[in-house]
Amino acid sequence: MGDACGTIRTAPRRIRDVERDEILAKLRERIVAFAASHMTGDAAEDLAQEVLILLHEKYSHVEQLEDLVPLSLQIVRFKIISLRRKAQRRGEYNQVSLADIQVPDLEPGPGVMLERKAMLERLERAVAQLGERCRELIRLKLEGASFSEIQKRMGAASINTIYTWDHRCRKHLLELMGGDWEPEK
Amino acid sequence: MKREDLEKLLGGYATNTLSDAEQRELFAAALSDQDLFDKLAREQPLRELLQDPGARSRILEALGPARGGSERPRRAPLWRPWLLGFAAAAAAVLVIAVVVPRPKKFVPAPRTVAELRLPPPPVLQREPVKVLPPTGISKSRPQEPRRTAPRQLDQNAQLKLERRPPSATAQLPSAPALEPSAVAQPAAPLPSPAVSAMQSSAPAQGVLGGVAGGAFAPRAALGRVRPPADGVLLGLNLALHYRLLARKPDGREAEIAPATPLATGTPVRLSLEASDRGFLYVLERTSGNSWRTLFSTPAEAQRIYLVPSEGTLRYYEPGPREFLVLLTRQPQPQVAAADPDRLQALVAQAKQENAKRRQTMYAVSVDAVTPSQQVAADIVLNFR
Repeated sequence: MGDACGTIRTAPRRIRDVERDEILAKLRERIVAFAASHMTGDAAEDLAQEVLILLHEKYSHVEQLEDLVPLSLQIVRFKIISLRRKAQRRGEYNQVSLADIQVPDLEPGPGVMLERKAMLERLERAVAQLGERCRELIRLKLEGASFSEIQKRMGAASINTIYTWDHRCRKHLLELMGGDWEPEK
Repeated sequence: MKREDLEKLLGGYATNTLSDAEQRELFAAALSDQDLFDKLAREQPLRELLQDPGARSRILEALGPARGGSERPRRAPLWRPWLLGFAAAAAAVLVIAVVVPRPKKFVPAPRTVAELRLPPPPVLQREPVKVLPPTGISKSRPQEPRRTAPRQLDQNAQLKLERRPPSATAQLPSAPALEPSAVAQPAAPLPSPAVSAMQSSAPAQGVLGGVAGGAFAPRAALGRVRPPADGVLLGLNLALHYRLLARKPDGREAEIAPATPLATGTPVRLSLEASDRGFLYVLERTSGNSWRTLFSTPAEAQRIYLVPSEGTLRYYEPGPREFLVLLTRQPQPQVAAADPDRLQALVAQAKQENAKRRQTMYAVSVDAVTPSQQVAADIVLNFR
């Protein structure tokens, strides 16, 4: 954590740093490829770079794989939304110089809130059309049960059965939502 | 796990259902597999939506009532005694469920961030009324006792009648007794609101609640600032409720007391909740004894903010780590670069109040409700 952790970067820390760097290198590769499907190649590179800078400077305390991946996906999404808005306003895609990089607070703005509201309404309609088993499974997930707890509560023979049920339910729900959680922009 | 099996874990990402082991497998695979990574990224909007408790509630409502029971058909014969007992209990529950009216729509109850209460208002001790027998009337003649109409007092005082002491009524026939509840109790001096809110340390009668609640005050005590039954409403003060969350080995977070010694490397987060709209800042004391901003956001009333919002804080060296949480009415963009003496004064004040209130996890401002109102909490984590 920046200054506060400056004194703790000792031997065991170095191993973690190496692991973190490896994760970040792979993340960068994946983010560039993912972003390239949403924007031009250069913009995708810039976006990945911005995400990594944020992870390095603001979120240096986040080290674990299970924390880094969701965080980077959240930042990627934030950045893509931000770039889209900018392009809509200006009528073009603008590359953001490093000096102009904003530090996002990752809080949803009014536009995101509106999109979320619309998504929630679509989701409500879609889940109501699911079969009884799927609704039960999703309910348990939303109530915070893990897959192993769901297995016990639904009386399934193995956890793989639950994985399969959940996979099918998710696929069905996604179809009911039109193939994507968010509507096409 | 095979590639196609890993894809089955995607459904648990948005709902945060995955265990640590499942997450590690899925994320590690996603780092090496672009298709899986893209699918994971496409789950992100749903994940963010479902992180909102309100959205979760609405989806749960749309899912309809819980079905209960197991997925598999029952195979055991119904004549077994324990099954009959279970069936009877279920029938009783069903009857209760049918008879007891339920609200049609789930409406979350308002929660209190902090609550200000004052001691019961003082009771005016009245001198017992002495009724002297009129001259010329026999002492043995019964006389109706006289009751004096209560006088109008100031707003905070409550008029109560005192039971006539035996000495005052000895010469009279039995007067109608007053209700025991009307008997005046010795009244404590009424402290000023600020003094009562800050000085109290135990949930005693009169002065209690979130302002000075214990470290793990029950959530039932949480709600909007509202007029207490036996106190005086002071207005909407700025209050902060903070909690310390530590992640257990199974991946779940649990609340712990701030004084709890933590093993180095323990993942922790802060949970902050403001009573009213404002601006939240979390500062961390650096090794150079200055402060740096760890987190800042405009805060909505009664919304929980996690610091950090993603990931956790981890410290690998033993020793204390100090944080200053600041909730202000007005934005303080350069709070960390503010006058160090001012910050130090805030810390000292917060420490003093913490000491008074033992392990409280609330902080409240009892100053007048003005735009400059602010509340500070000092949190020290001890790693060993």
